[in-house]
Amino acid sequence: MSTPTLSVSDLRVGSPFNELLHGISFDIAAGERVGLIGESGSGKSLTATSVMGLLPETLAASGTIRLNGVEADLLTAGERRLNSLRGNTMAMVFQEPMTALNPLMRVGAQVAEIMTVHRTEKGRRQARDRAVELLAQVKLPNPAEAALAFPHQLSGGQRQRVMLAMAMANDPQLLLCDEPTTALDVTVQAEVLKLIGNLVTDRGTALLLITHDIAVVAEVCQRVLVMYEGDIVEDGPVGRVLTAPQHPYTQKLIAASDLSSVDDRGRLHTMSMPVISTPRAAASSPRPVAADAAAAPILPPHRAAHQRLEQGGPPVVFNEVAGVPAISVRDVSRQYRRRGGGLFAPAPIVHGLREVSFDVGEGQRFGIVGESGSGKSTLMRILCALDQPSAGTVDVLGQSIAGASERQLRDFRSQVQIVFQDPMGSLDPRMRVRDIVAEPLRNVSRADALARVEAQLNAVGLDADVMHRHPHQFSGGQRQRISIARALITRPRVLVADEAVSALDVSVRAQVLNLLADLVDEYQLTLVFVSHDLGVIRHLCDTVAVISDGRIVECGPTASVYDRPLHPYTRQLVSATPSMRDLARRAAN
Amino acid sequence: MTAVNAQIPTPTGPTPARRSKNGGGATLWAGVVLIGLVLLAALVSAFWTPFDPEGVFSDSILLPPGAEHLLGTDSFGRDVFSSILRGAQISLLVGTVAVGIAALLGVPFGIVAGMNPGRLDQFMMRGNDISLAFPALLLAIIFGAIFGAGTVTAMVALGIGTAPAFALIARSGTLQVMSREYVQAARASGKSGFFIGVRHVLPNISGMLIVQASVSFGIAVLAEAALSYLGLGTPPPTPSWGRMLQDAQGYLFIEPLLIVWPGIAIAVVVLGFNLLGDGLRDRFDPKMQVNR
Repeated sequence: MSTPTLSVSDLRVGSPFNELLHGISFDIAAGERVGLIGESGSGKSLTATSVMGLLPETLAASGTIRLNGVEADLLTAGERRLNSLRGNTMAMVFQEPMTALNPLMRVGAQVAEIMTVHRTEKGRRQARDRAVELLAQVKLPNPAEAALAFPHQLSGGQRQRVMLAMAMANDPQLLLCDEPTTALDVTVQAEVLKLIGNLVTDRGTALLLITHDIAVVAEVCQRVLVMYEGDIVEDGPVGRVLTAPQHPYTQKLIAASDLSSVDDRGRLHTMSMPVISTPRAAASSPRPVAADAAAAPILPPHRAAHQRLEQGGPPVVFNEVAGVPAISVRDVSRQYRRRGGGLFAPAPIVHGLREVSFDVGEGQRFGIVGESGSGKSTLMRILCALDQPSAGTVDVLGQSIAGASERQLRDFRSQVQIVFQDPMGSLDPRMRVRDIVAEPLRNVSRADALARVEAQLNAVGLDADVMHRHPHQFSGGQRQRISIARALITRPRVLVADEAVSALDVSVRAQVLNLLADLVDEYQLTLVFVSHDLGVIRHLCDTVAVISDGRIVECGPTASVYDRPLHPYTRQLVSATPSMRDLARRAAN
Repeated sequence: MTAVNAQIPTPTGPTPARRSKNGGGATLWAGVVLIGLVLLAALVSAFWTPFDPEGVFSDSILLPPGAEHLLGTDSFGRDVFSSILRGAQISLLVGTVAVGIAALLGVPFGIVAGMNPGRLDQFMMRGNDISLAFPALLLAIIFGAIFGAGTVTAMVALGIGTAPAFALIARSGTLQVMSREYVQAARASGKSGFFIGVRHVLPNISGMLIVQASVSFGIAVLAEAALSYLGLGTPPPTPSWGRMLQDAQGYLFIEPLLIVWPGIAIAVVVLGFNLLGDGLRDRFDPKMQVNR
């Protein structure tokens, strides 16, 4: 066998307090495409930064990292030697292209700079010409024009293409990609991944792709390394690892990633991760005290009609419910005035939503799926009366909320609650958990409130003694549980979740989804779940609406929409997010 | 407190990035020591000074520093050391009251502006910009001319004059806090603007406000000295560092040391508060908040 392009042996990285990487070793052959997969804190990014020689100085590393054709050990090589390698023999693509690009420099100049720094092109003129060629190779439309654009004028996917052009400018032996598509929309993600795969295959570049997403690895890589708590626990061809994982962690990781497979109780497979306490038996938890709701006859579950919006056709009322729907949205539009224009010129108008009409039946689990900028967040904010529509009516639980005053909304506020995406930002860092969870309560005595907080924390699987702590002492999954407890403490009838599991690790995601599903059943909630992730929606929701460019383009029962999409956009979306089974089949071929 | 909580390890999940223990520590402590000295002087002089700093002693005029009069005596025969000690009282009083007035006016103003984006915000902040362009010292001189010179006038004028800076800081902090999801969650629970301002915004911007307060404190002390030097501050016979400078000016060539002592005292207070401000700024570094 020829010399590997990258050879890492017994790499250990430690902080003064503990060891973070416990002696990992792996080789990457020339032209081989390797995925490195793991959850946050597994050490996958540390591995990449060690290879690039970008470890923070507070961390100590031992072991050897060798790059083919380079004498020195990358771990001990001087900064000057490393600088001549970085961007030249090995290159890196980062997660967030907006911050990795210089906002004040035209992108063409940034690509050209990589070549002039390493003197791979003779003059400035040649470097600029070559930059345009490279931008064409990463399939930017109008490369000559794009070269003159500033980063903020490009979309996220385009920026990542520019990053890729910079990385490939000097034909590196090794390309490192750290979560290259995590910040991108699913349809864009598929294109960028395909591009990465094609570029490295064409040029024979070795690829080390770091990600938390098995689907991404399956898309691009031949081999996969699975990291868990600073160790590589599994190493093998993608097809084999996906279909027949050996290590228990890999088995659990793959099971938890697979939102289409459930156990015999209809729950997602979770990983045994430390939780402060396990969720209690359903019987011991406080039931909703809505007497009138219990007296009402239980209606047969509403089943949505599968409809799509025709090109240029009339607006459609999606999922129309015969009786009284929990949520009824008619012809809702929302326009924004963008900042800018001149001092006297009218500001340009942006359409957030255009003539959206749909119903959500009582007890329905309604998913809204769309990409960034589609208007799904605007819609969510309007449903929660955090924003007002420019036109149209919104009725929630029989109350009109478009244009209602805060006083009129008082009942509504306790009936409709939200769980947010970011478990860091959704809890006030200065407040204790008990005050956070008790916040939505009104006119409740302190002792009473504390008792309810305690019961609610138990209901979401947290011990009562977490009440006196601050949010930063919790992990992402635990914070999301606190968020859910806060949302449910008023015994709402409608729960709106905005990307509620998107920021969580795979293993935690499955737990939180199971919890949400349990609670929705138990409290007889009407759920509106907004997400970009089709897999999550498919698992959790019975009805799904696909939103694009401010319009609902398709809506219907989840299985029907996913298996027989009517609208071309839905088709594109569904094909961009293959299920685990598809991935395994594809990787095996 | 932020700093204390950051030391408690997270039960599970990633450990928050910690600052090294010296981060801002040396600066902070230097500030604390200097301010502590001044505070001590102000406290001690309330009960005891070596000599009476407010009388006239014709038998001990312009004595050089010595065993009896540590820093010498001035043109009225008063012990300079006693005057410096007593002068700390006025300096701290003016600083505290002026900063208090500034914070009381500026912080609610800034929070209200930050919580009501759009016209109200624009209107309030343009007004704020205009007052920001007006020097606090000039305002104090005008107030002195209208209401008569005195400590109270100086304090109020300086307070009003430095309030716009507080409003500016409070507003920018409020804008950051308002974009967080916990504010959205509070709004979705039907909490009033007042509740959000008091429970969410104020605690989360307190760090930057404390920093601003410590810097303003130094400015106010300096301004009081300047006003007293101009004869618009504390009236005699109450000792004030600024007026000591003014008195000493006439004897610059006879007893040059007289001008040095109050100068050092003013420098110590201003330096102390600036160091304190810098140290606190490091403590409340916004990056730390992100990491938590």
